[in-house]
Amino acid sequence: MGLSRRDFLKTSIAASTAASVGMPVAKQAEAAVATMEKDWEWDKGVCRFCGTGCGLLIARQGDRIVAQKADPDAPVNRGYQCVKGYFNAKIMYGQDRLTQPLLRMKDGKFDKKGKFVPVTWEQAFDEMERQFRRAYAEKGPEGVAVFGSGQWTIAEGYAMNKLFKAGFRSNNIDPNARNCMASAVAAFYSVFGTDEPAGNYDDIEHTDTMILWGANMAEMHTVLWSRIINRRLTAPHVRVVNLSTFRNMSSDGADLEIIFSPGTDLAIQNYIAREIIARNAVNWDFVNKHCVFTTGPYDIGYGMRPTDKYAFPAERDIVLKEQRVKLDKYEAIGQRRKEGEVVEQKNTANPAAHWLISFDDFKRALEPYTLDFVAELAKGDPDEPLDQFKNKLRQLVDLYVDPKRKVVSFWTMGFNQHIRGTWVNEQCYVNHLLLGKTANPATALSRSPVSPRPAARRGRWAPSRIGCQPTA
Amino acid sequence: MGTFSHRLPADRLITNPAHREYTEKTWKIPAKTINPKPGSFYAKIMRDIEDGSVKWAWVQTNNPWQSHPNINHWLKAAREMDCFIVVSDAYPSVLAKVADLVLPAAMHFEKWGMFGNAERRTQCWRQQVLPQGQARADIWQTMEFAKRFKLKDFWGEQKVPGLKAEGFEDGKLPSVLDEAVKMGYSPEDSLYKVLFATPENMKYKWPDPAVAKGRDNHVIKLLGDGWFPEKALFQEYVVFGRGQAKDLADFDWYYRDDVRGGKWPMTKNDKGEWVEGSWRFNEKYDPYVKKGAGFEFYGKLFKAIPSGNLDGVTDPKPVSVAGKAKIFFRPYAAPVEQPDANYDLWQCTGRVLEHWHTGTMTRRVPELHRSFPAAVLWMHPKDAEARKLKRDDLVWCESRRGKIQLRVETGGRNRMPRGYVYAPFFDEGVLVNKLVNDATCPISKESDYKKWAVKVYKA
Repeated sequence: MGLSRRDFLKTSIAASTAASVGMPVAKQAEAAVATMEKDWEWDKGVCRFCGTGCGLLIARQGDRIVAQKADPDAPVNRGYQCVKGYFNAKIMYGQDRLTQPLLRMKDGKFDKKGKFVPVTWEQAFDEMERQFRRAYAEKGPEGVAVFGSGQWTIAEGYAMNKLFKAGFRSNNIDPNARNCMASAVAAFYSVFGTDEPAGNYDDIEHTDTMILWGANMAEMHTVLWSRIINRRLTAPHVRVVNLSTFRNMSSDGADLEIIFSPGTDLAIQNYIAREIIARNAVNWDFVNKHCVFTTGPYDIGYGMRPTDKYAFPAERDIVLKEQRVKLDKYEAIGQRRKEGEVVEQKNTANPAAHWLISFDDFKRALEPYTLDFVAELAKGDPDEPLDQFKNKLRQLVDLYVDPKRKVVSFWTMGFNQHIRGTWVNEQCYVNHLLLGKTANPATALSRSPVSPRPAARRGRWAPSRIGCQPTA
Repeated sequence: MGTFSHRLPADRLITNPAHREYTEKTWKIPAKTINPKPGSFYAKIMRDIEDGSVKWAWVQTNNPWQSHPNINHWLKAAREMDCFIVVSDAYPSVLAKVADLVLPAAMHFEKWGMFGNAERRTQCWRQQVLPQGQARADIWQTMEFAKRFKLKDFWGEQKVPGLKAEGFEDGKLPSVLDEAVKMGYSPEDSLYKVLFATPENMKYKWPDPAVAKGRDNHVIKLLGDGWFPEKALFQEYVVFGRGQAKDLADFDWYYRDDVRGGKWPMTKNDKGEWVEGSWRFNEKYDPYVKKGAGFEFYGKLFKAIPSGNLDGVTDPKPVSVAGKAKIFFRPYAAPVEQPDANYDLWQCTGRVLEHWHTGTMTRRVPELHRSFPAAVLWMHPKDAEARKLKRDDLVWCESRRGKIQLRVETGGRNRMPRGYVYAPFFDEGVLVNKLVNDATCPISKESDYKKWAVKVYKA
C-alpha cells in the first residue's frame, strides 16, 4: 500500500474512528483498518475514572490491550471522551507496576522498620493473618478497618462489606466516597428518605437553565460539559450560570459568573429562598401536597476531634472550636443571635436531628438573608464593585423564578466537601421544591421531576456527583 | 453497596434493627451476627490509628495517605504506632511509604467489573488481559483472605466497648455459634465457604460462554472451585434493591452486546424485557409512584419526626411525613478556619483535567504527565507581586498543619481573586493535603477540602 508503519497506524486509527461515527472512508483506508485490526478483538467497556460513566470500546490482541476508543453507541458520551479517558488502557502499562507482594522485613522476618522484600502470596497472607489475629484479639471487631472506594467494582465492594460486617462483625469499613458524595447522600436521606439522584443526563437536553454550584464541569466532567455547551449553542434562550469561588474554565462557557467567598453558598441559597417567597413565586399547590418544612440544631460542631490532645500546637485554636465558637458578625445575623456570643457546640453527637416547623417559622428564619446582607458577606472578588455583584445575585434569582424556565442545578465537590455539606445540599433542594412547578405549570408534570441528584452508586462513588434539578 | 460504616446494602442502616434482620436473613447468617454499633467513618479510622484504637487496616482502590486531609498526622501514625497497614495497589504510591505489606492489584481490564454512574446507570466490562506478574484482583484477595478464618474466630462473644443497642447486652456482641450450628454451619467452616462459596453461589458455574464470549477470568482459575464470583455476588446483591425502587437487572443482561448499561430502577415490560428507569418520584416516569399521586417522595428513611419551632422541639411525638419531601431551613455557618493576619490567604484544592485523583495511574502515562507534570499554586498576580513573587517562583505554602513547596502560577486555566490560592492534590511530590484541615460536615462526615488558611512566601 506504500504506507510507512506510522502512516499505516495513523490511517487505520483515523479510518476506524471515521467508520465508527459513520463517515465515509477511502477504500485504501478501509483496507488498512482491515489489515491492522485482523487479530484484534473489540469489546465494550467503561471508563474507570470519574462518575460520568463513559462507555468505551477496547481492543485486545493476544494478551495486550492495543486500542481504545469512545463508544459511539454509549448514551452518556456518544463517541466522545476526555483526555484522561483516552488512556484507560495505557495506565495499565506503566514501567513500575507492582507485580509481587512486598513485605517489610529484617533478618528474614516481618519488621515494621524493615525494608520491602518480595514474598510469595502465601507468605504475604500468613503475615497479614497473624497481624489481623493479634489486632482482633487485643481490640475486638473495632481494632481492624478497611479503606475502600467507588473504584471498587460492585462485586469487590460487596464482597469486602460482607466479609467485614457478616464475617468479622466489624463495621469499620468506609469508602473514599465518604470524602466525595457523603453529603449528597445525607441530604438525599433527610430530604427524600432515599439515596441517589432522581433525574438523569437527558435533563441537559430538556432544560434551558443550567446553574453550576461549585462544579467546574468544563475541566472535571468535560463529556457532560460538551453536552451542556451543545445545548447552549443550539438553543439561543438557554442560559448557563457558573457559581464558583474563583474564575475557572466553566466561566468561559457561562452567561453569568458569580464569584462568591468560601462557604457563603449557604447564604446565597437562603437569599434565593427569601426572594422566592418575597416575589410570591412559591408553588403552593405543589408545596402543600408534597412537602413539609423542617429545621435542626445549629450547634453541631465541625466533625473534628472532641479533644486537642492530638493537635499540632499551631492548629489547636481551630480544633478547640469543636467545643465552642464565638460568632462573627455574619454568622450572628444569619442565626438571629448576637455578634461575639460564644456558642457551646451541644449537638455534635446528634447533628442530623430535625423536626417539623411551620411555614411562618421558615419565612422568619429567612428574614435576615436580604440582598444587602448576603451581597456584603458573599462577594468573593474584592475587586468587583458591590453593585455589580448585587445585580448578578438578582439575575440569578430571576432565572430561578422565571415561570418559563426549567432550571437544573449541578453540583459536585464545592457543595459536598463543605463543613455544612449536608445543609447546602438540602438548601439546593429547598429552592427547587419551593418553585417546583410554579416555574412552568404547563410542562411541570410532563418534563422532569422535582427532585435532585448528585451521587452515583454501586462501585462508583467518584467525585462527579452531578446534582441536577430540573424544575420542569 | 452499603460499604459505608453506618450502612447495609440498598438504603439500609446499621442502627436499624429491621434492616439488620433483613440483611442477616438475606445473607443466611444468624440473628445478631451484625454489630449494631456503626463503625468508624473515613476520618475517624485515621484518628483511630493515631490514638491506637485501630491496629490493622487494609486499603483497596484508594490512596488515603495522599488524599485525606491533614496527612502529616496520619503519615506519622502509620509508621510509628503499633499497627499493620496492608495496601493493595497497582503502583508504588505514597501508600508504599506507610504500608507494612503491599499486595499487587489487578487493574481495570485485567478483571471483570461493573460500575454505576451519576445517573444511576450500571455498566460492565470483561477481563481482557491477564494481570501483570503476580498481580491479582481485589476480589480474589478478599476471598482468599476469608479462607484463612473460621466462624469460631468471630461468631463467639465479642467485646465492643460502647455498644448500646436494644436486644444487646451493653458492650458486647453475643455468641451466635449455637444458632449457626442450628442453621447447618459448623464452627470450623471457613468464612469463604459461609459468605462467598455458598451453595446458591456455586450454582453460577464457570465456564459461562454466553457471557464470557471468549474472555477469561483469572479469579476463577485461582479459586479453582468452578463458580463465577462476579456474577454470583452481583445476583446476591440485586436481591437487596428489588422491590425497593433500586432494582437492577440480571447480570447477563448488562453483558449483552446491544446493551449500554441501564439506569435503575430496572423493571420488566409486558414482554418480560428489562426496561431502564428515567426520572424518579414522578408518576409519569416512575413505577414506584402511587397512581394519581402525581409526585411521591416515597423514600422510607426519616419519615416520622417530632414538631417544634426555630429554637427546638416542642412536641416529641413523631409525626408521619410519608411521601413528602422536606424543605429545610439551614442557616449560614462561618467556615471554621478563615484567613487572619498570620495565615492571610484562603486555599482550596481539587483535581485537574489531566489527572485522576492522586495521579497514581495518570502520572504513569507520558502524554498526561507531560501535559501536567507537577502541582502549581494558582495565585492572583497582585498577591504574587505583594510577596515579591513571579510566575514559576518556588514558594513555601504553609498552614497551621504543615508546609509544602511548589511553583507559583499567575495565569492559565484558573484565575484567582485576590486573597485566594488553589493547588491540586494529584502530585505526590507536593502533597497539598498536608495543609488541609480535617474538619468534616458533622452530619455526613465528609471532609472539607475547599477552605482553609495559608501563608505563602519565597522558598
